[in-house]
Amino acid sequence: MSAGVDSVAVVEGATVRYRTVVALDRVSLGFPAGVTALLGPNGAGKSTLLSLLSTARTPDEGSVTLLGEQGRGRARVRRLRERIGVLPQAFGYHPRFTVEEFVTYAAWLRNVPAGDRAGRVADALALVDMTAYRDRRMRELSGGMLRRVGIAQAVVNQPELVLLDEPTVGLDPAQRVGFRELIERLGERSAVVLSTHLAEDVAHVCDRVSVLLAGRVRFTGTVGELCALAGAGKVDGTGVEAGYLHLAGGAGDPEPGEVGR
Amino acid sequence: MIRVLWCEMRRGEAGKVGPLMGLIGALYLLLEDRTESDWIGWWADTGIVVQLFGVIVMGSVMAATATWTASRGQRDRTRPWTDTAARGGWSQALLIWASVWLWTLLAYAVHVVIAFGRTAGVSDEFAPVWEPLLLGAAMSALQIAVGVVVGTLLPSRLMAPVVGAVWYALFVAAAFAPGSGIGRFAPAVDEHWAGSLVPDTALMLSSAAWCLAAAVAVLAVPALVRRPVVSPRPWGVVPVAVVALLAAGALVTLPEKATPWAAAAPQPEDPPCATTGRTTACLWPANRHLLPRLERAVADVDRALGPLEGFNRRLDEQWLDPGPVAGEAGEFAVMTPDVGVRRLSQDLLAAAMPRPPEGCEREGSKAAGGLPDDFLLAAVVHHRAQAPFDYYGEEFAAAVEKVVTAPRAEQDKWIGKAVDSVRGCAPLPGLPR
Repeated sequence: MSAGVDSVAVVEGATVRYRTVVALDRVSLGFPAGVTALLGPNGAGKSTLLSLLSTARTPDEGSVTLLGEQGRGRARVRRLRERIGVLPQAFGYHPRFTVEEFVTYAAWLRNVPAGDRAGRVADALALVDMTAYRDRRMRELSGGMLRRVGIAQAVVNQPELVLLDEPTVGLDPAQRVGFRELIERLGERSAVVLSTHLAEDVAHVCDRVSVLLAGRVRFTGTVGELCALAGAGKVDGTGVEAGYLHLAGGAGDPEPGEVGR
Repeated sequence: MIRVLWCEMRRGEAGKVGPLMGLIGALYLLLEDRTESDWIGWWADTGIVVQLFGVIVMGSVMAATATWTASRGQRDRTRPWTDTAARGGWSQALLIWASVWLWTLLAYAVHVVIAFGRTAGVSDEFAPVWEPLLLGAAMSALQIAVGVVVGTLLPSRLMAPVVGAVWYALFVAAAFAPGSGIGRFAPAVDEHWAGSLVPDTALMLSSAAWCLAAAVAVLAVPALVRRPVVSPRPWGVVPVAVVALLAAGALVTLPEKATPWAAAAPQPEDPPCATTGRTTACLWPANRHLLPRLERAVADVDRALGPLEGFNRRLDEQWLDPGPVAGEAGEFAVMTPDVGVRRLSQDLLAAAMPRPPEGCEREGSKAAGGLPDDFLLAAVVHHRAQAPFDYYGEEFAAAVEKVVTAPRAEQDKWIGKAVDSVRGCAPLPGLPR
């Protein structure tokens, strides 16, 4: 799928260069409602694409339309950011803050109106099942809990577009299953872009998938369509892996459950 | 905003450093010996001392703390999501700055209460001088703002101590280069005003305005420099920058008055004075609390001088203009607001000594052991008044002894001639045999 009219976010012909390295090469993609996976190996350009979607940077060439607006100009960027949630790959936090304070701080950063802030924080914590831990210091949380708080801070402004960069990395299997359910719930209320290289995640929670290889879009479609590329009959992690490897064509042997290391 | 600010205050490093600085400052002010202090009892100097500690010590440390807190984005790896926040970099910087500054102001307020309390215990009046305090608060705001900016732009662990040390060094440099103008833009008022000086209000308010406006304006710099962060609204930054520039212009153009920060106090119409016999001494109104001690000291001096002629019988505190007075007037300085009667008597006696005419160079005399011979006259008078005088060696002591062991009438005669000699810029008469 390229720039679709129903898409929450549309990237058209976007090229991003880091000095001599081309991180994204004329990428055109649309992100509709639901959960869309960005699948690809490290260095494929997934995080760069997310930085365009989060308005952290603008493309050197091409355009990005988010929620119907192009992200240029201070006021427009600010307005867009109020409607976007971001969970970066390396999610940092202030260890001395309590969970509630931290999410409140995130709500303030995202311009949630002061009168709504307490309610939004409570909703976000409830969504990620962290209400019981709201008074716990951030430094006392497990990796899985931290990821949940990361989601909470990303959704506290009730964003229309949520960008999740490798949210399940480092989680144990049980946590990962719980997380997938959480992402599915998010997908019911927002457009979610999930950057990952975990095939299982893609198979279980994503409606659509785009495969990035060396800064270019190699595939975009439903998860079932990706699995079908390699002739996989089932839509599961193995099917996603097979489809991905079919596209990557000798990009390397993936580790079990992962693609394109 | 209040809740987020309160959270920031509780969780930021300033929440620990601020109270610590408050405690250190409180001890510094409480441990000051009242009888030796050069500020306890003078409202203006009390404000100056609080300001000076607040800026040089606390301000530098809190600026370092602000640098550390502002660099946490890098340390805690929160930048990837704080940089993409709708709230701009200026707001984020203002939040950290406000949290650190509020802690500083809290500690500052404690210092003010302690210092004012101590001064109220000595002074008869309640007359706080607010300008130095305002200037100190404003300067600490600028120090902390610079700390936030450095911490945001150069988020290294090393930068916090560097910022603190640089601020401290800047104040030292300003003190060593009083005419350089650094002091007006980085004010740390280190002066003694006692009662004879009053704040140069226009200058101090201009400097405070500069500090506050520059603080707020400089906090916008990281948001202007760092690309992913939402930049500040121009109508927010520009007015503040204009105020800073106007204040800076005023600082450049305002002339210096009596001292870098003070103007001469207007001469009082009715200064507190004490008179005994032929001797009168007057104080600046700020020292009115010393009047009972002054009365006793004046009585001591009048008794010591007795019927002797030629001494200054009208004594005024430094810079106090006695107007037209009969006879010669002397000047004395009050160095500590809680000065005792004994010390006051000594100072009055020294002020009562005759002075050689302007341009007269007193040379050392053999009789005075090589010292200027008006020292000898002063030593003799002090000895007669049983007041201590500096010891200048055996030869000098022997000369004093020779005068004071002579019969009283002969002493008086020698003193009378000596007074005339000093006033006439002539050598002292020979010692009594």
